[in-house]
Amino acid sequence: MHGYAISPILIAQWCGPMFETTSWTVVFQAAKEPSGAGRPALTEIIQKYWRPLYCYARQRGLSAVDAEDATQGFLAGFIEGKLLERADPAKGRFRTFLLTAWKRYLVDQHRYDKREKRGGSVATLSIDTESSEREWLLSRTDQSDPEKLFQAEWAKSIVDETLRRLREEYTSSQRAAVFDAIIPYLAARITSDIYVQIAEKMAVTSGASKVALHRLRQRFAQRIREVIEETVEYPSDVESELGELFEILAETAFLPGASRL
Amino acid sequence: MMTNCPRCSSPIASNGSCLRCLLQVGVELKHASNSVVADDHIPSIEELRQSFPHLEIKRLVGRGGMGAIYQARQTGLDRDVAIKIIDRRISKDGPFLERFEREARALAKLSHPSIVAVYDYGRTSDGLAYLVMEYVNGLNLREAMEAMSIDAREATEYIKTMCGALYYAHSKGVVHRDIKPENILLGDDGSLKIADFGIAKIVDAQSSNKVTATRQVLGTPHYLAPEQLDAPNEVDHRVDIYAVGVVFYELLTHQLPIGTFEAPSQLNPALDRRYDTIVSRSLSRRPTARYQSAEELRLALEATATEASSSIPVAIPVTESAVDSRLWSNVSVPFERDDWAGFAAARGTIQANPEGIQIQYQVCDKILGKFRSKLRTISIPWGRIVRIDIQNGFFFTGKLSILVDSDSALQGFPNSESGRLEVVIQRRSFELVQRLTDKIRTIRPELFANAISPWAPSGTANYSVAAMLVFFAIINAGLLAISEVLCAFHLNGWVLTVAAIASAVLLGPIVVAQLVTGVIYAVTGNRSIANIGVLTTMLPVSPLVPFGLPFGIWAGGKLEDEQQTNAPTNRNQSAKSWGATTLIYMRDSRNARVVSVLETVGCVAVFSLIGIYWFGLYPVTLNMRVVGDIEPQAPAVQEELQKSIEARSPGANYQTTFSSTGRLFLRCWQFQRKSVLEQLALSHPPSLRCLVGTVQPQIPAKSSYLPVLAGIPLEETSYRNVSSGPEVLCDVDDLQLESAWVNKVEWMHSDQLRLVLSTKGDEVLRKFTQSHASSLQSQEQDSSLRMVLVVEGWIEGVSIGSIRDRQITFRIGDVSNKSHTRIQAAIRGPSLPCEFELLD
Repeated sequence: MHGYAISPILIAQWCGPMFETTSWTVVFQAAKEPSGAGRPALTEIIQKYWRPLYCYARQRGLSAVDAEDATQGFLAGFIEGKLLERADPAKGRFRTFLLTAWKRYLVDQHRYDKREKRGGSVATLSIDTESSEREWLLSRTDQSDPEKLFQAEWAKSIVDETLRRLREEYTSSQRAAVFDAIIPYLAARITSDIYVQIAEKMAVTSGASKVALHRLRQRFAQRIREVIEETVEYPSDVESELGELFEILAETAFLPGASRL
Repeated sequence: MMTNCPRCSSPIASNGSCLRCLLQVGVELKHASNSVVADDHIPSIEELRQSFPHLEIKRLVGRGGMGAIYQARQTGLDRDVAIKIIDRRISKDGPFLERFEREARALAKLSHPSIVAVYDYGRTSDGLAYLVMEYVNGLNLREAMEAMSIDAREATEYIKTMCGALYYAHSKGVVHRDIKPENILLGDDGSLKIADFGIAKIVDAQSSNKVTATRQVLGTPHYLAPEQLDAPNEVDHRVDIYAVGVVFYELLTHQLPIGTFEAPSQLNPALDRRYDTIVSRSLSRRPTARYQSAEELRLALEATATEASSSIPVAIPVTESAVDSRLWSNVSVPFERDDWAGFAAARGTIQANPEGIQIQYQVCDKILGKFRSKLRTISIPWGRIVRIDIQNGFFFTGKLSILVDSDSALQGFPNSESGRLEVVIQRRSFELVQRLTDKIRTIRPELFANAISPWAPSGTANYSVAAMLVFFAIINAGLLAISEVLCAFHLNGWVLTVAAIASAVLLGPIVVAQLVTGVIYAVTGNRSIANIGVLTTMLPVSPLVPFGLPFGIWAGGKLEDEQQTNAPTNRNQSAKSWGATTLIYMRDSRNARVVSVLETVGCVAVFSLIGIYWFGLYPVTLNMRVVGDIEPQAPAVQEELQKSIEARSPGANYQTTFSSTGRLFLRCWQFQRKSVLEQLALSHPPSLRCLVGTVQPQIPAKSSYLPVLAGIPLEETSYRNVSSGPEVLCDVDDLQLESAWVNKVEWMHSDQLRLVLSTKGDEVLRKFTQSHASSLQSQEQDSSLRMVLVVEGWIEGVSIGSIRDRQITFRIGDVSNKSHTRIQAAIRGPSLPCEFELLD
């Protein structure tokens, strides 16, 4: 049964310091097994990234209700393991894997027309469709390719997850105030004005604000790699995945109509 | 409505930041985010949790040569701590543990705001040594240097703080021994803390034979003092001072002081030079030459900071109160700086401000003036400026030169070398310059070494230059007059009319200019005026240019010298060679002299080559084929031909060789080529036999030998009379000449007759032979009496002299027993039995 024969030591080596996280394929393989040891972990991972799925479905032309139903159904099926046999995650990333599976699911869904609506007996996942709907309304354009929208939403999910963890980290050291003061400047162009502004907000010297800002930037860069590492099979893929996400956003930034909104 | 990022127009993430910019931060900071990899030599998180049940282990923060650092939370005290675990390989060493405990006890006693506090130490359940220390939220200095810019002021603050901490630790007897940017932590609350005090000693002193291995583990040796490498066990606190010096150097210059390193101000022009002294003293190889305590170093830095505030950018000059500060920004002097070749120029403005001199400039092309580079700004702090000179420049311009202590202070200003920035100020901006210099003078009077008012004429003229100018004017005026007169007398064609007008138009102004500038220069001593006059002497339209050019060069040097005597601070190299005019732009170049010499040599070479080509002063070999019914290979025939050729070109001594295939190679100069070919084309040797007509003299009885020319008997008396000098005995008109080539016949001495020819002698011979080729053959035989021309080198008969200079002189032979004299000249030689055909 050990198709992958992944030893715990190996996992630990892959994941380095991120002891609470593992590569998604590991979880996936675990979930494939009948005992389903990895299933809660899978649920956790999937729940982070279901919003892109919803946006994709909406952009494909599904109504809000249908999209919600489809997403629920898909995720439920996923967690139940129904969809797992059909997909081969040996190569690739969670992002592409999920999108392929989702596309396939939507086609099937269309074919069997809501036959299995609401996933039968499976409990509904707690997903916040309202915020997703808002998200979709914000980011959609008439011309947007649903796939590109999905990718952009994916990138957004990654960043949001990163920021969430980062905030958690700062909060646990009781430094949430520092985090909140600096976070608006995280992506700003570095000028001496910025240091002064942060220093005023935090009531520290500009030298301290300088360090604080760069510290946060460094942690952000580290954290986003951790988050991405969970969605790729090998740690060595992290850089290329990050570069790909960046490219995707570069494309969507100049989509016709993107600036119209 | 959704807004987009103003920078990249990407969608905005949920927290308000631009998604793409955020990802860019992630992509850019790749080097900073290499995740720390755990290995077998350090415990895992799980193991640690067992060892430290009271701590909440968060993550592995770093992995160094000695061990690993984990972040943990001390829930009880509600603070973050760092756990340093010493590497399994080191921890297993028995003596090490003893030493570790001894040192750790000392370290735990250190309590200073800038030293990372040690809370606890001990051994884990599996026997690894550990230290629990204060956790610093922030960056280490290495990361900070890579991520953000640290200016000199901040660097000084950091170093001062470090010195305070080190002084404290040294006084407690603890030497750090491994100061490096990685061990200096900057907290995001603005604090600076030194970590890893004494750790190096614990690890180092294990045993001397392990030192190298440990060194490798510890990493870069650049922060180690020389004596630390030589005798690691005998070092004192001064190794820390050395390391602080290295860190300071790195902060100021972003480089490590390796080998013979440059002073920081050489690498970072904005720096005060006083930092150089401090850094170099800290980095002395001998410990005794360094600052002897961290406190001493700190005090030195403090003194620099306060002193610097009086003179260096950051602060306001002491004298500023005396100056109307509003004027600082008002004076902005436009300038220009030409490129060597004159195609491009840097144009911009100079301003003085309390910090130094600020120059803004663009490089633009000189021909159209359209293409401009982006605006660049350089700022030279007062501390770097050695001297400012303002002088008269060329042709009513001013020259402002700023001498600085090194090239780096000029920050790549075009054409600045040897720490000299020199720009040209137009006359219209002189008042601005005056205001600017007045301003600078109030702040930094010592920068102006010469008290001479820059724009006033120098007063004393070089009278020899002035006199020469007037002299040239007079000579040129004379030449003008002569040319006009000549043209007037021969005014019979449009060419001369044009020449008359041209000489008046061109030479007239030159005469006036030379006269006027010479007089004005003599009176006022204005060198710009003199320069104009000198330049006119060098213009090629003047016939005096062969004298004018050397004079111009000489006078230019004189004027330059004079300028230097008047302005003693100016150490310009004057260019005194042929390229003098172009070298005006190159004066500050170290290579100016080389370039001028090359230019001179080049000019001479080019003109020589042109002359050589033009006048045909180079040897050629004519390759000819012998055409005719002869055997050119036979030596006898070749000798015959040789003689025949020599007869045709008497005295020329062409080098002729016959090849075995019957070719003739004739070597001569290019300018002779045409005449050689013409001579060889004659089938008969040239002859003057019929040049002068045959006359029947009526010889008096007594002096029967006297020749009679043109039917005029030559009286003995008159003949005798001419012996004292030349006398024309007969007019050319009376002489019945067959040829128009003879202008005159003169008796020279008792027995010499000279024919004055209308053209060159050999030309006459050739042409005559050409036109009389047919008749020569028949007349060959009846020359019973002949007076023969001598062409140099080949003599027949009794003639003397040569046919050069359009004259043929020949001696009358003994003709006393002859009934009549026939004046006859001939160049004799064998006829050519063949023809020569030029092959190339």
